[in-house]
Amino acid sequence: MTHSLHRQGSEESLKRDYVVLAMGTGAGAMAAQKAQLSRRFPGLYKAGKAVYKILRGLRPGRSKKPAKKAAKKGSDIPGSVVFDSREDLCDHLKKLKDADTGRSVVVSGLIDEVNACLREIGLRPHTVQFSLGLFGRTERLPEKDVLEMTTMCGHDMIAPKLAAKWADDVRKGKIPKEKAADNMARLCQCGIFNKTRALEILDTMQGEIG
Amino acid sequence: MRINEEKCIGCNLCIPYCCGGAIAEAEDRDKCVIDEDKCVECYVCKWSGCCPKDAFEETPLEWPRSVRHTFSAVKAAFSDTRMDGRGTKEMKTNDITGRFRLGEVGFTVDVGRPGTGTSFADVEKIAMAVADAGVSFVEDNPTTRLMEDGKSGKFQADVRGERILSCILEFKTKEEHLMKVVNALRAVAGDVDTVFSVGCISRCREDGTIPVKALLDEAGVFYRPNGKVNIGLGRPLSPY
Repeated sequence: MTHSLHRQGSEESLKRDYVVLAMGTGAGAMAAQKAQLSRRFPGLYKAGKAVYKILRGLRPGRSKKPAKKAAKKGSDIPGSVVFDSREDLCDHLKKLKDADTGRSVVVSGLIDEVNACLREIGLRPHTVQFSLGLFGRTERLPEKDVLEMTTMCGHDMIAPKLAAKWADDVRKGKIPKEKAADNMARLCQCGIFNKTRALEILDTMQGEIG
Repeated sequence: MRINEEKCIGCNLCIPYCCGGAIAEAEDRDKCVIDEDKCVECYVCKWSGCCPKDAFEETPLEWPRSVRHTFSAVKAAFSDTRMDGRGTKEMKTNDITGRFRLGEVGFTVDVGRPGTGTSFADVEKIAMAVADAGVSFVEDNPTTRLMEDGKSGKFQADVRGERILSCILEFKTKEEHLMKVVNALRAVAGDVDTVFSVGCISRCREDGTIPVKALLDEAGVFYRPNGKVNIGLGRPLSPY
């Protein structure tokens, strides 16, 4: 999916938003790689400073905390992880490089920052995807702050009206901003919603920057 | 999706959850109702657990309505397109597959996102516009699989009226045709009743430079500072 490509926001805000996706091309190959990695790097994905980790189920039959369960088994590789600093991103990419899984790894974020990180750890970009922006009936889009939050869910599972409502609830003191950010994160089934940024945006919406 | 009116208490809590703007309060009774034309079958209303009475009920989805769920829900396997959901691996596994090569430029057009939804009639308009610009649609993509022939950009007649949350048109062309495609997208933008997000893919040279970046800069085409970078850790399936 291209869904993490079009995250909206200022360059300053996006300095705290990096999504790392790891994937192979077939279930069999992935399972074999997981088993191999489990033996070689049992702690690789248990710790770290990720803002938010992998799948959280809204669908029936899916565990609400598969990441935690998988970590206990020591056998899973996160399909998606979000970091709110370049330093943490670099640390994670270094671990992935050392693990040498053979799986593809893609980073969504500020391209210059990501490439600088790659240089630091002795890698080079293989393929880059640019966002040429939004076309068509853009007058239908929600206000900027709401769009910055909803586009952090790549599959568009957070309806703009709902994000706006929760932001309004925060403004009116009905719910704490942490609750609003948690609510939005829960709707993002891929787990690439960045709560750190959401809290910042909610602060901005309340005129409480800083 | 339907609302069981015997369970619905008309609290309206579900209304803002709807990604398609399809849920509203009934005019003649204290209940919520779903506009079937607007509903994209994303199931967020049910899966989110927003209804205190669990009044949302899945209904059997037959072709062609089933494509709504295929392109609006997340990560389920669907027989309609013989692929998982609306997604595609595009450049994400390019180090393994060699899908986009030096000298080529890839495009992804997310139609209906962010947050507006789309009909396949509008998807078709965009697809036909870029087909005229000489692109090749990527075969291993669920949207391509709903086209009549995978080349003209025309979609199967029975899906054109279906509404979805979004889908991804994915295609490539030679670098020298980059602006022809960008101009086609700019032109068709005024003819559609939706929003679309455009991605532009470039295989990097051995030294890490990005060929398409220079072309975009030279043509004065806007691109955002954030994008996606495949960092080259994938093991190629075969030399390319």
